[in-house]
Amino acid sequence: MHLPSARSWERPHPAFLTLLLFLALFFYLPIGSVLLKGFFPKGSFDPSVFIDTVTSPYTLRILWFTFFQAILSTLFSLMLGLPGAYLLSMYSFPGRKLVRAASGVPFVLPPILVVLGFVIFFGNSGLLNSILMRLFDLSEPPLRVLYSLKAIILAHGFYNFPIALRLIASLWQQLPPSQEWAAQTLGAPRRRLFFTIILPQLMPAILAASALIFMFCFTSFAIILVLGGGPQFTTVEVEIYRLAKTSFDIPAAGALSIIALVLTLGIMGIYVKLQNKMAFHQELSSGPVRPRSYNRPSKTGFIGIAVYIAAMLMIVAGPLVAVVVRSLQKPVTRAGELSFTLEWYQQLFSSGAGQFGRIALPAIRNSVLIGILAAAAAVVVGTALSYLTVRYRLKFGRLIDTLSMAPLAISSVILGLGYFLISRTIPDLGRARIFMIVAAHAVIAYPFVARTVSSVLKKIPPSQLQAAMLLGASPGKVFRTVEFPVMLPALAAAAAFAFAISLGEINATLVFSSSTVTIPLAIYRMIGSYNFFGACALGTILVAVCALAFTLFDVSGNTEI
Amino acid sequence: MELTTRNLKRRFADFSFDADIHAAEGELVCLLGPSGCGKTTGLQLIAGILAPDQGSIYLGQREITALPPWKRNIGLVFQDYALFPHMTVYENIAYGLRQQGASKYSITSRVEELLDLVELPGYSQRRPEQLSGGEKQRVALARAVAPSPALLLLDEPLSALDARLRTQLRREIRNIQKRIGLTTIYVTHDQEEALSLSDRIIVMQNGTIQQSGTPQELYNSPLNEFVARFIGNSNLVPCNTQAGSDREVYFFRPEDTRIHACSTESSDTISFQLTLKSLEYVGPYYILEGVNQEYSVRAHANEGDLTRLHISDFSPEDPPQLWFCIERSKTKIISS
Repeated sequence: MHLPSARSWERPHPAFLTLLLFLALFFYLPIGSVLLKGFFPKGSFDPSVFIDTVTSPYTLRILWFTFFQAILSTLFSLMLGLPGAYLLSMYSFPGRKLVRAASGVPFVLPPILVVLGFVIFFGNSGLLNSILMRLFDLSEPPLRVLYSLKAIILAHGFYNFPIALRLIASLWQQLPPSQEWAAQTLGAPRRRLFFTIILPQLMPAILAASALIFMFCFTSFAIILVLGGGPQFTTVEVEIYRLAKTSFDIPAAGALSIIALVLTLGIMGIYVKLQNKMAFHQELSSGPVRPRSYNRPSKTGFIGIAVYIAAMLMIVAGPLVAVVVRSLQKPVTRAGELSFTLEWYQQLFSSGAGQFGRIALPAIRNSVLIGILAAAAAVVVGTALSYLTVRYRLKFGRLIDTLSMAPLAISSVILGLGYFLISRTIPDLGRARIFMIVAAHAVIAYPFVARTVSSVLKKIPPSQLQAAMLLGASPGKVFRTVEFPVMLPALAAAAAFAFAISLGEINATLVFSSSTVTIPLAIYRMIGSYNFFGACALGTILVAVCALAFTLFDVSGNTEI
Repeated sequence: MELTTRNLKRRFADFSFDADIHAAEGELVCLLGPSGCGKTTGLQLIAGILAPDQGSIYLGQREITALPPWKRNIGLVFQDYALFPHMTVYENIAYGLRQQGASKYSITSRVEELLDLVELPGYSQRRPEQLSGGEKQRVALARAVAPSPALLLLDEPLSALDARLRTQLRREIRNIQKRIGLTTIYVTHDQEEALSLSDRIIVMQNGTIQQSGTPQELYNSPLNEFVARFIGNSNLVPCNTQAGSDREVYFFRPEDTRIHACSTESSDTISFQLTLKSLEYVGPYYILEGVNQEYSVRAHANEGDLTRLHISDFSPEDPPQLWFCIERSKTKIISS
């Protein structure tokens, strides 16, 4: 149903135009400059670089691997997420809330932390291997996953299975149980019920989750950069970075960016088309979602639930716990005996410990400063945009919607490259460098803010706004007294989320300004110089800052993000 | 097929079901009661969606207590229709037949036959979202009946529809049920629906059976106050008998109650002097309500009665005293 907007007769305030300026300046200009480089390598039109890049077997190999790992990662994420979606949709069991909450953790974890956690947890001398070696009395580490395709797939699965779990579960929970009962009384046993009634109706959610996960894995950067461990496992994004920052071949990086952009937009297009085709009118039950099985889970059901929760905790919490534990340990003997220490934290804050001495304070200061500014900007831009698209019926509403959501489909590596190209044209950047990072982070974060705010704005019925106006409130007052109080929890959650995105952002920051000291960049460099203990200490600080932000903003686990 | 349950019990945290349901071959039995009385629980136990804590369920001579729903051969129709939204009308109705492994040809002809039966010929390629509420429920009925079930269960099938459609569809359901001779359990909270449809009604409250009988038996001779209040409109007036352990009440219907200006108390009439509280016009007649401190009584009256009693211009500020009279033969004394 399309309800007329309360203020459809009113034109948006001209101040909204500054939004377009923001988008043009901080998103379309840098992206455009990257794309131009591909076709105008030396200022004049010259497609030879682009053609060479597109046709080179090396590019094709990278493209193939990018697709290959993204497909495997998507399948693996679905495999991890589907059982959880099933459990959440079918049973009411102790630990249900825990599963939901735990599935939200990867959404806010900085990728560099995930990478670090994986190295510490799954590494050859990592926590998991040492536990297994002690348990089974082995002399060799039994699991060898790091710096291989396996590590990439595993980390992508960790990162993305919550998307599958949540999208599928939210649809599954809305399928009316009466359909299942109808199918059963019509003679369909459980397995056939699943394949003929449930699975076809879950397809839109499975497809949406797959497309999203595929996109994320296709454009994944930090995980492949570190866990892939070399040119053998290079994807398009990593290659763009390598070309721009190691080979200084900007035109080739631009050409590859064009290819990446066309592909990601193509994937999005196919996804939208497929979804429209498959979308049939869902008869979803309204009202609160209730646990749909009145019969208690069977004994095997309980075992399944326990196994899944354990596996999920291991995958979600294992790497995190490993980082914190390792930051408090220090090797005593060559054999790898460890003892408790605070040495790594002391090193981070005091001088005289090599290149990473005293790195903590500037890193924290920069990260928190950038995070606060970027979150504030993202909240303003995101809220204004969602207000513009939800409340006003604009002539070019859909176009504005699409243009403003474009940062979701364009990788932050390319964005960072754009900022890098622009910064080269400015002779003395100085402090402005920090503010450019803030702008980049704000561009990356505001679509998430806009989505959160929009979903709340859409839930306020126009009749409420009309009632407030008829009771004598001006549009400004309606916003202050009716809409804003309703939006406030969502705004707080969005602000915390934007802050977390900025705090963990490494792709654009690394490509644009690798010398700026932020927490993720410092961790990245420490990993690069095999200072894992120090990296873990700084990683623990990163987790603490993240957790602090979410506590301050009092974000409940149920807020949609 | 005949349905019998023995000693059927299911306990929940805040509610327990303890009732036995019987339906003779070809009979339509209504489970009637307010929401939360256990009627849907009864239906789900029979369908196998819920497992009983104890007791047994027989369909004909066969015990089905331990069978899963897909092996019971029972059709079920829901309040929310539960049509499969990703399938056409044809595929919905064919679903049960396909589970039986019927041939394509026999499925096609059976679906056509059923669409004719529910008066939706030519609807086979439509999708559920293109149907109105009434059409959806007809398709749901056809789907449940298609595999020729031994028993048909209907769970408030008409509650989501508007009043006019409800009366029309309930007649159709009854006709179809009679034509196929299908044993049917029909759950409803609508007493009028139950009265008009049923061979027999089972009135339930708090998971137990209050009374079971034909519609006429229940209407004319309710066993207790709950049934009397639930079916039709009732007057319930405390008896002036000596205080026993059980409170007893006179039960009589408003349509049997007459109104007079003075007492007509006699060996075969009881009279109550009450203050007129309200006078309501409902079309065919007026409803008068008289009250005193303890109870209220309603009576039906016509235009002539109002003129005779000089109460046509009734004013609530100065209410008249009237006598509400009932023949003893039309009252029953029931426990409350």
